[in-house]
Amino acid sequence: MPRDRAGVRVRPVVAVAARAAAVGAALAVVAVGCSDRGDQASAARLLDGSAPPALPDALGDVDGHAVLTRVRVLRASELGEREHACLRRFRPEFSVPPGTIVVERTGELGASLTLRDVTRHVLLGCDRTDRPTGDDGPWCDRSVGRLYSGHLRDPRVDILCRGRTRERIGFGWVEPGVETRWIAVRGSGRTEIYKVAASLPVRLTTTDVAVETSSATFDLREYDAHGKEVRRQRLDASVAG
Amino acid sequence: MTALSRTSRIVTAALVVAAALGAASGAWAYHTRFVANNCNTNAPQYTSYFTRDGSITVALYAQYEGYQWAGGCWNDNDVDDSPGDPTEDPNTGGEGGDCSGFTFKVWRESLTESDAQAWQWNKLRFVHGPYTAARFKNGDGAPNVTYGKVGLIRMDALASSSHIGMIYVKNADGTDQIVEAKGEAYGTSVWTRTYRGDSNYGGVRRLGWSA
Repeated sequence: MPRDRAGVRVRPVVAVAARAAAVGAALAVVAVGCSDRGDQASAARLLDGSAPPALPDALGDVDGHAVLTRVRVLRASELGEREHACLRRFRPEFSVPPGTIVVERTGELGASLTLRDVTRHVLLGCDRTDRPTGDDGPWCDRSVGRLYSGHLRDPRVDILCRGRTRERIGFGWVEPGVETRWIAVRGSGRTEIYKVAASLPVRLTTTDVAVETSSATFDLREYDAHGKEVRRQRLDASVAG
Repeated sequence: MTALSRTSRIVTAALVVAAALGAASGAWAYHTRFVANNCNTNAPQYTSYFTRDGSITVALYAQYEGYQWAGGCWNDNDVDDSPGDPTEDPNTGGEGGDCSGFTFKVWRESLTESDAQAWQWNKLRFVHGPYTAARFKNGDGAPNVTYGKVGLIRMDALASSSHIGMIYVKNADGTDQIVEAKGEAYGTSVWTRTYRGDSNYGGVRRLGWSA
């Protein structure tokens, strides 16, 4: 597996692959050309229309319709115009030098950028869905989280982004455990899996959003490099600050 | 030797008790139960008439009350009933709002961002609202717009990506008296601020005031 400049493993874009859950058991990979190619329900697509990366073998026992989100670790200087539009929205409050490590995540529901500002005391991020946001460009939200001894005290939840059918998409950061290699978020009959990258909190998405309490819920399972579940939690997080 | 040993044991026991008491005190400070014991989830009341002066009255109920990250419930006894909560911990259940929750409630906004109407939230109604300071700064939500700082008036707001405060009085020297939920160590009150001249801050206006 290739490594980026920061030494973080980056899984390359792979050919179309979808996952169908065998009855009550392990997942089976369904590649392009298989008999259910035309089954849109099982043929997962990421926000950018691409097929998700293949699930690693270690996660073969993850229950449900599991989709591995794509993660790229880049330097700010390597970002495209769309991503720079995110960084510009933080000026002049925060400075992001060209060498800043940026984690870009693309899932089925949403995509995000996560980075630290130049002081490394603040975590910055932008979120987007596939619903146009008008004058604000591609990003429907930007988040700022203060780091205390390098850690967040709050997931910095946002609940105002909307998906293609106007459903609410919640975003929030989670700090993975020391052993955690992947985080799975379950919800609405599907599971999105996020690979930990660049020692940064992982920006997750959920459709489990409660307007009345301005909060979002993340049903999480964390797995180590061998696919062993190392933590399970139901994170209810509210909009704050 | 025996007496010395007994003394040593007594001292050790005293230290353990003292440590336990200290820990218990710390635990109490982390979970005040103010919200659990005092706050409600009652429905807000729609109002077709809401003024900037009226919102000042709403804001001043919270003066001298506490500050709670992700909070939005306070009484009006001019005391922080949950002092010393850790910073940015949403689970401490303390009194007060944070900066964006305070603004949401004082501006009498809706939980639904497409709704620009005015809603009265009782001070003991626990509510934060869907906006962060960054959301307010961006003018997100139907009731909110970004606004040039020069033209800001009473009860307009100045927001950065991590804080928001409302203008109580504009001072002649270019500063403002800002009513804001400032932080756990400060609570909620009115302070003189230089946000208007700070490039990190932008102007925000709540639309639809009756007067």
